[in-house]
Amino acid sequence: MNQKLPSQFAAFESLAVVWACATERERHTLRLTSEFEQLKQLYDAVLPELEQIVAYLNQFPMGQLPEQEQNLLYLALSCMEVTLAVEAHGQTTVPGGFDPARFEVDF
Amino acid sequence: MLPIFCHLLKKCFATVNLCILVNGVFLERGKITMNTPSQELPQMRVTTPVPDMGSGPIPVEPYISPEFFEQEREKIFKRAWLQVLRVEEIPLAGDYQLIDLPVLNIAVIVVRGQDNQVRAFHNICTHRGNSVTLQEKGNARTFVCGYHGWVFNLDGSLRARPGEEYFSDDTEKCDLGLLPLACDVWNGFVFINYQPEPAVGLLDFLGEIGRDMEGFPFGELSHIARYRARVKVNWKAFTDAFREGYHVAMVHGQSIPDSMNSPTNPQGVPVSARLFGSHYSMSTWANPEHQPTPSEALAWKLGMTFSPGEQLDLGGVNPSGDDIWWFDMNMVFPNFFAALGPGWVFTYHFWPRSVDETDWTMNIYQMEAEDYGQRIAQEHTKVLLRDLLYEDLSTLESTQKGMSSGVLKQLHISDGLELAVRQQQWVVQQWVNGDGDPGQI
Repeated sequence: MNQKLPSQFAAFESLAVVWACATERERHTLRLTSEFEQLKQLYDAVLPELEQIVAYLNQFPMGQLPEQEQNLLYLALSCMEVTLAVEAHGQTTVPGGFDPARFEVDF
Repeated sequence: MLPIFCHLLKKCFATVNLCILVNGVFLERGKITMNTPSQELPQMRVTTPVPDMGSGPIPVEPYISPEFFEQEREKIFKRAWLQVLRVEEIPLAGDYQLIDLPVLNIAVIVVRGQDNQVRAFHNICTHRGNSVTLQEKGNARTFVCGYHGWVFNLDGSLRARPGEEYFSDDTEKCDLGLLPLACDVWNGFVFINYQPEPAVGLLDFLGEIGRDMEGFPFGELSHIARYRARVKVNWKAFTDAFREGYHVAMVHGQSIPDSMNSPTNPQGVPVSARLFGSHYSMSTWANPEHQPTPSEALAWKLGMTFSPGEQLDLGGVNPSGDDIWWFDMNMVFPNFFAALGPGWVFTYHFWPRSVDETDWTMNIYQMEAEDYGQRIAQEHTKVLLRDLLYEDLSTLESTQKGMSSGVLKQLHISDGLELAVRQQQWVVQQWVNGDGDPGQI
């Protein structure tokens, strides 16, 4: 199977291709370097469905997600990653903020 | 006129019963009152005695002088207990981490021995000075120097030397253990002291700020994030940025406009504060009218997050019993901050590299996620705090640059809003030029 997400969430497949990143560093970099419209698209599509995503994932024990469910979690985490940018900043980077290239994200 | 009045008034009172008038703010024992004719402004309750820390503007010089920095290195950083690790980072016997401390010009091995005891040693072979280990972290049964193969036990003692038979009596193995630093653990936080036998033990050094944090379930939280930055700013100017809530309205005006600020508390005045010798603790105010963003509301539905919300009944927080409380910021002198919230902690470390450069680390901890909703809520905490720190870090280098010019001689602060800024520079003076740690005299 080459679908990134469980079939129930097939509607998010194209988003998952971009945003289902395993590490904070990757998700954070993607947030900083994407177009703002892409962040908004992710936020508008996934945030309203987060409770459904959580209900689905909670069928699985912690730390034991199969690959597609893992991608679904990463998508949800990416959604959280962009929330402040969309809700407050209106841009991908923090306005007037410290240089992201000098801000190290270990995890 | 005002400074003279302050001075006269100060002379009338003993240190504990201090009352000064500064910029319309009365600073009485146990209370700071904003004296205003019109509306009632919020008050920060100071629930401890306030020492005589002087009044009026504070000097810029200590923030920019390389000579003063050298004195801080000797008089503060070589004498204070310094927080370096959590025990969870070295959980097993033989686990160690190598910690570089430029402020002390040393590198330290912190190691858990076979006896489970945590110890700290200089990473210096007692033979001819080579580094005993080059690994940043690992697990070892012994440390073997890569130069001549000297072997050290985890308790630092010299176990063996190749060519032992060639060494004379004045190089007895028992005298050549790794050079120790003092090392102690408080609630899972590993502290070291450059003095192998410090004048004051860790528990006494922490004193009341430590006692107020007792009972907080540090060991039950998950370590969910670590962020770092090297910033061209003096370590004290760096900590100043977090020693007050005054900056929140401006620096975080877009990101958290109404968490700590409201029309009734426009300056985000903390709800209470405690001065404990060299240390300072403040409790921030949580706006009861705070409007959660959609993501905040969702994070609170799924688990918990950093934004103001429900309070878990944990020990070690809200020591002044404030009704409207967000989190405590505990500032352990000189360079370790622990912000304790209802179910989360974040810590800051500020490691000076020079008078105008500091390495900063932030660690975030939160209650263990028991399901995926809580995991996603943890992410909200991380992201929110991280974006706030982008904002916090943005003012530091230009501030240092401005001060470094030497043109501005003084900083005009408000005790009602920036008491901890005054306290830090006073505490620093006590350690460098005064009687030493005000918590111990």
